[in-house]
Amino acid sequence: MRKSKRYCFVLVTCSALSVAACQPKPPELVLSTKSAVELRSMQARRFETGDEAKVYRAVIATMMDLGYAITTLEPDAGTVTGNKLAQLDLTVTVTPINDEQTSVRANAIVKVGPQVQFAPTQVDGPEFYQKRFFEPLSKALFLEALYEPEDAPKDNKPLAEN
Amino acid sequence: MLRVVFAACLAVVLFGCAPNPNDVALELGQPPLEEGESTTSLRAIQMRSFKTNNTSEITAAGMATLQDLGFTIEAASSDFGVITGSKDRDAVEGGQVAAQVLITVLAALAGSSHTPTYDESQKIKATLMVSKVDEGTSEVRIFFDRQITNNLGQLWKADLIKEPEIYQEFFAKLSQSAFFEEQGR
Repeated sequence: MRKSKRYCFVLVTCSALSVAACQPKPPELVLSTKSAVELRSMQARRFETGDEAKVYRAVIATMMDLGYAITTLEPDAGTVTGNKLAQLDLTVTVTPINDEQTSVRANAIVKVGPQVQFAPTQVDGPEFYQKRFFEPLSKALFLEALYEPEDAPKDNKPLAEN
Repeated sequence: MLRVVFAACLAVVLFGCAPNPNDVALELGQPPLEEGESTTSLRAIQMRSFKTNNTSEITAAGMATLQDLGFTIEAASSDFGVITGSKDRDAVEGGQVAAQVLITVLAALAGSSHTPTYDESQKIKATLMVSKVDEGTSEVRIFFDRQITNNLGQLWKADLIKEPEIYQEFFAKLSQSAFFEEQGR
C-alpha cells in the first residue's frame, strides 16, 4: 500500500513537471543588467555637426544598407525604428546637442528567430553597436563617431575610422 | 567524481544550446551581403537616379506605385522621402505540401511520426527612400524583404529579396506613374 502511494506521488510529480514544461512561455523582454552609464557609453555617440536632418537621413540610409526595413519613423522626435528579418529591432534617436554637435543613440533588441529560440533580449554588447551601427554610420556621414564627453576615454580617441 | 561529470553533462545540455543574444545580434547585424557582393553592387540593384529635383513629387509617385502593387503603407515621411509598406501573400506550393504528406505517410509506415511543415504565408516588406543628389537629380532607393510563416504559425524563413527583376519592375512602374526620366546607374 505504502509502495503504491509512493508510486502515485512520483507519477503526480512527473505529470505536473511535464505539463508545466509544455506551458508556452510568455514573450517577455529581457533587459540588460548593465548600468545606465555602461549602456549609454556603448549605445550613444556624438558627431561634430549641427545638421540634425543630415544625421537623421544618414541613420536611415545606414539602416537600409544594413538590411533593416524601416517600421516606424518620427522625424520631429528624431526617432526611427527598423526591423531586420523579424529577428532584430533597432531604434535610433537623433538629438541636437548644440549648433555644432548632434547625439545619436541606438538600442537593439534580438527577438526569437527561425533557428534560435529565446525571449526578446536587449543587446548589451559594445561590439554590436560599434561594428554594426556606428562604424557604418560614421562612413555614411564622413564624420568620426565620438564618445559622449562624460564617457570619453582619457585621450578621447574617435572610435570609428573613416 | 560521477557527480561532477553528471553536473557537467547537465550544464552542457541546459546551456550548451542556448546562444548568447549578443553573439546572435552581432551575426544578424552584418550587412546583408553574400560572397562576391558589396554594398555598391546591392545599391546598383536597389537604387535609380531620376532627372528631377522634386523629391516630394517622386515620393508621392513611389507611394502610388507601392499601392498599385498591393502594398499597405505603414509609415511615411514626405519631408525625408521615406515610405514603408507591406503586403501578405499566400505561400502554399502544391509540390512542397505533397512532399510533406509523402514523408508523413512513409514515417507512419516506418512506425515513426512526422509533423508536415510547409510554407503557408509570406509577408513582403518594402522600404523606400528618396534623396536629392543635386539641382537636377534625385535618387530613389527601395528594398524588399520577405518573411515566410509555416502552417504551424511559426516564422521560419526570412531573407532580403535580391532578384534584380523585381526591382526593375518596380522602377519601370515608378517611371511610368510619374513620367520621370530614369537615368540609370
